[in-house]
Amino acid sequence: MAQPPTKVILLTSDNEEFQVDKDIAERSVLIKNMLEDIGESEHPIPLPNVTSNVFKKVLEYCDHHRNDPLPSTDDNSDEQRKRTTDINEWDQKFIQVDQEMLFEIILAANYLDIKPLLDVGCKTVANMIKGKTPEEIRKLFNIQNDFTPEEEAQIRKENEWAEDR
Amino acid sequence: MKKNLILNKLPNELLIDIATSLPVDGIFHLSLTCKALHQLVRKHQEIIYHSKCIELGFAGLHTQLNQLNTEIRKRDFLSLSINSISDWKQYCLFTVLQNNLWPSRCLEPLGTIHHLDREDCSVWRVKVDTKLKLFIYTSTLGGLLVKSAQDPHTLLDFNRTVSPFAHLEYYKENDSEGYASTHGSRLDIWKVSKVAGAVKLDHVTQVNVPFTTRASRMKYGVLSVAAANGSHIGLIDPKTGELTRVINTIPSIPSMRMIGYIEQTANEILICRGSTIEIYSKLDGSLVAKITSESIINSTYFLDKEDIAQLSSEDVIEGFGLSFQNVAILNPQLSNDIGNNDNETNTVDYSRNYNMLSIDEDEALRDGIPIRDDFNGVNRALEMHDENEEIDIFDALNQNLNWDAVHVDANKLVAYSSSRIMIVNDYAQTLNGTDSRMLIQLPSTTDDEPSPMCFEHSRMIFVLGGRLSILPLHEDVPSVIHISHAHSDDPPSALQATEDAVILTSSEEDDTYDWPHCQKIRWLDLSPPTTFAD
Repeated sequence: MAQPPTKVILLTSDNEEFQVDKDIAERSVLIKNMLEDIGESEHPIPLPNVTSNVFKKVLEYCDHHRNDPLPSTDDNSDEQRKRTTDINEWDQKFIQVDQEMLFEIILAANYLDIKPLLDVGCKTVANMIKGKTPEEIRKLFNIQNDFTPEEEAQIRKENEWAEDR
Repeated sequence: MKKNLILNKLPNELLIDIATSLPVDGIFHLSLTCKALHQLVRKHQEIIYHSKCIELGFAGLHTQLNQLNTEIRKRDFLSLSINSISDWKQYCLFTVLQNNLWPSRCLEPLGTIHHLDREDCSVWRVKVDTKLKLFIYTSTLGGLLVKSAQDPHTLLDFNRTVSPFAHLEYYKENDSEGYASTHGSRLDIWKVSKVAGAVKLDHVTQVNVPFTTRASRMKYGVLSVAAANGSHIGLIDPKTGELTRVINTIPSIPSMRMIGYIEQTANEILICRGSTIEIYSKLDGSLVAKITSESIINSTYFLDKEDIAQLSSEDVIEGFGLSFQNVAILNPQLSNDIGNNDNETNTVDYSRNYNMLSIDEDEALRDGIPIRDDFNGVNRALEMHDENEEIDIFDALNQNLNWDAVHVDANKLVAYSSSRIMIVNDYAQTLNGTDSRMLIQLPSTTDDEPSPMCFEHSRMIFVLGGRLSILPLHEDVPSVIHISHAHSDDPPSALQATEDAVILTSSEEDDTYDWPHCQKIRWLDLSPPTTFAD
């Protein structure tokens, strides 16, 4: 008979405890390494950089992708280096959140070391920027234009031949 | 107040990651938003553009920056103001610029047409040395001439002993010298060099090989010649004229026969013999691989316009102009899957339309000759094509299967005939027989003679139906072919491509029966309109 999946307890920064299947939690390389270090333990693992509302989203992602092959650790493999801005359908729906949450997810993925999720997040931001003018990008992220008109003209001039690629 | 999330929240390493996944203009736009992002992109531009180069295939994973200058030196710039590459950004943007602007933007005339405008020009074959900035050419009247590629195209040196209509090959030894071979009634080697600012032409030697020769090709410091009877290939050192190796070829059918074309890679010799391409090792002369007409073709493509002659040409510029029309290359199987509209031509239609031989159908119909003899399954008109000429019907049927030329550039092999183009994406795999081949079926044209073809800098250049055609092959699956609006009755006798220009001969006389032809050198400068600023 199949064993019930081992659970681990994780504690977010706002003191919420999560009971999570070990294989789901181990999508996070950080948690995986921690579990290896401390071995079997009843104590919850603290995640001081993640709040519960963000962690719920992250778990949703890990749950959906629990059976994915783990990403190769070979940094030089072609697939890893080849960046495309394609995101699969489920991930696209999943990442349709407000900007604040999007950045929180990216940060959490970065902290928890969940590379595929980090990729989805960064690609989403890249897709938001793609095809926009500098002014539209400023508007999108509420960036203050602190260039003087002369400075801006200078930078444009330096790169004018790179325009419209 | 809404916070500036992107800068406040994300650490630099993630911003760099995001910048790297942007297209090149996106990186630029991002850096234009504010000082902080501008500085960030600037500070890390090498990481960003290095990744970009790898992603876009401009560099290998292990390519070092210092290798790029060698890479760039391999490219020949006729008119571009760049001599060395010092960083990844420069290299990345430059390559993007070239791939994008040349030649796909050539729909609108850009660049300049230069040609040598001297009444006595009767250029037959022409080669260009972009470092010495020279045109080297043979004449229909005889002679080997060296002219400056820059205005006013001064005649720098010449030798009149070369026979008329001599074939010319040129190999650049280094930045200040090169070797030319002229192949007419005899085979000669010449050295072109710049000494103390003056360009001169020296006769190296007359080459003696123990057989009569036909096709010749000089590349990689080796002059290769094919025997007229098709049974040998000779390899010659251009510096001494010494015959270094004779390869005995192994024709498949005893009566088959002439070597139509010869090409070289660093280690192999390729020859076209009828519909077969044979590849021999330069090192030991062994037959490495053979591509026969029965070889498997993995996919067949067609042009979306079968009648290219319908291209608008109201304002026909004599010869070839700089305006091109894009003609898409379609895989009919794939395009049928996508849409199912009524106008769609299916695979069968394509094959029927495209497999016509170049015969004068109108004439045949007028004379009441049925074009197709269904009983014998041949095109009857072929037999009647020219009463005075005996035509071997099998030869004629095979005519459009015979390869006119084969070229290898980087790791791509391209074979060309007037009816089709075969592309092998991974030439190295041809050598072990595991390559995958694609075929582009060309529409039938009324071209009398096969067009010359060149395949350099990932672009294949040839003439289709009297129109200059550029097929960019830097991607795995070619999607478009650029066909010039302008049309010329006379095919050029020579074609060459540099990184940003096409050099060809053009005959500008209306009366092409005028003898000898007045052929000039035409140089289509397709370089990007803006110079590379820093």
